[in-house]
Amino acid sequence: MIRASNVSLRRGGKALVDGVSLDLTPGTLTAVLGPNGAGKSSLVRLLSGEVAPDGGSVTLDGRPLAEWDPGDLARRRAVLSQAVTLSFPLRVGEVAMLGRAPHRSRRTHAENVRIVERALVAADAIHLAGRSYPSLSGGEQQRVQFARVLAQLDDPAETSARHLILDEPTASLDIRHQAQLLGLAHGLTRRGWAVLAVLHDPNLAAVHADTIVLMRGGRVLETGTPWSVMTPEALSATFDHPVLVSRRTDLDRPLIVPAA
Amino acid sequence: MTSVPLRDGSVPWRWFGTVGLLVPLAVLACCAVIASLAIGASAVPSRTVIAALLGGDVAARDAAIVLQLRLPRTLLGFGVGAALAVSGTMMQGLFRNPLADPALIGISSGAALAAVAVIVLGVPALAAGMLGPFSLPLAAFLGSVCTTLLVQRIARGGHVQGGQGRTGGTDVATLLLAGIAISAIASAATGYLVFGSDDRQMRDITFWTMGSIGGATWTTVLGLAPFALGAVLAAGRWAGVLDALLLGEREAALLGFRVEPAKRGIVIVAAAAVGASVAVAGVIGFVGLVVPHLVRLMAGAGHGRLLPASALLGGTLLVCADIVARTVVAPAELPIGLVTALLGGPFFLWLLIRRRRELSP
Repeated sequence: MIRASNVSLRRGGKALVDGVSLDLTPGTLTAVLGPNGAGKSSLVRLLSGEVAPDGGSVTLDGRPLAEWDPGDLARRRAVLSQAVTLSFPLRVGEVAMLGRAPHRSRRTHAENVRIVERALVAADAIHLAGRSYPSLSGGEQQRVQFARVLAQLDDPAETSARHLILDEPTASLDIRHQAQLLGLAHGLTRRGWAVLAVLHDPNLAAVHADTIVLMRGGRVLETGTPWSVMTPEALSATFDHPVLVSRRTDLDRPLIVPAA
Repeated sequence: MTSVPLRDGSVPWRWFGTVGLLVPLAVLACCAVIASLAIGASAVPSRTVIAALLGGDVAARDAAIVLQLRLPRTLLGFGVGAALAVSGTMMQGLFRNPLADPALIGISSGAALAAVAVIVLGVPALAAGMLGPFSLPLAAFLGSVCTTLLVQRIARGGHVQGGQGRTGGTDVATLLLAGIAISAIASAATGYLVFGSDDRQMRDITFWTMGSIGGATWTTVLGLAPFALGAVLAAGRWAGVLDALLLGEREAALLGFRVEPAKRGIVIVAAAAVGASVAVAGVIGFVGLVVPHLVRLMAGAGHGRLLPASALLGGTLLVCADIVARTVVAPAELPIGLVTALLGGPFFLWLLIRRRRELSP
């Protein structure tokens, strides 16, 4: 479990993240919602160990992230960043294969290829495998990167809990691939993975997340199940815009509509 | 799950296997070396060249020409070409910039400045007595390493507090800009020194700034060998991190690579290889720029294949350039840097134009 306890991140005298406590619990998909500048991406950087907190602590299985060996950490947590560009023409298969870097010395090339294939199939990007990455559309690139982080964590020999952090994974995807990606992420929680996704679409969060976190101004306003958190009052306060909440007809989940 | 035929031989992103790439390049390299040993003022048949190399029964005159005169020069050319190409490949990967080149971050100009300073200002008699013929190469090497350390130090101090979370470490943009500034300063200082030099010094300076492998002896070959070989071997160790760096430093760190030590190591090894090359052969441009591009066109950007292939092709290219340099105006010789610039410059422009055309619809 990755646990943030009362973490803060300050840059230039401004608190980007201010006293946030949050758990990435195995078996749970947590969605973080909030307006622009709420500190969601900063929180991702703290939870991934990319930056050290200015206050509080982030631990994986009780040990601060900074004390972990980078390779051990990379086999237990992966991060899908917002947009990854390449200045050289690596092929899609090679990009996805980079996800196997933390496992290089532990697996044969054939085993790694098999895992990468599986990840590319899961991300619906296998047909792109021979293409040059820079020639892909933004959404296709995003799916390839998703395959890469899946391949990074997917290992039959790994028994410890895996933590997948997705920073706006659906931003450039069409609706089919949005649903597919989050459905897959939710499926991974059934295998004991912990997934945290920063999302902009509250309806995607309402359908796929087990836990919703509402952030604003670097702080967490609400945490809980979709029905308990996604009230018109809480969402309106979070986004500083009136929001209506009703009930989907197909699923027992909230349906969120911004008021005109 | 759908089974997709990606494995082994049919893996599409491995359409050009490592062996399938390196073997033809190695054959090409051998051909270039033999041609370089055969061609010259006194032509030696290639069969005789091979016999001489293998220690066969060859006329003493032919053996002397091949083994004493041409072999050191050919090996030096190959080593310089390989060192420059591998350094260029590492720099381009590190900076995620296809135009990065050891010359770009000031290494070559720093090395040349040190060499020119020694030519014009002379060395103290004591040092000259101790170092003898090595004082120039040593100066070039020290100039290269000092410039690199200086540029890197500036870049390391230059992290931005309060920006989008840079947490220190070497900032690539600052590194490039610092390199450009240092290059300009070094060139200006070199120009100033040239102004106050006499005719003989001027010719020596031309050698350093335009490059030549005419001064090759077994001593210079042995002096370069550890740096060239070291760079090639070390580069292999960094192939994985260089691949990951193509995604950006952030992604490389998230993949579990220790990015900072790798970056520092890559810069130092590349500087040492370039410094050693400048020390024995002066400033030879375009090899570090064009060769990695050529290899990427053939085999993609994965460093596992790119680095060894660049070393082979860089060596081959420089050996061929040297054949041109010493034959077109025989018995005189062109500076080899002139040849590489004449061949490499237009080729590079062609690459740029082609790339632009491919990118625009």
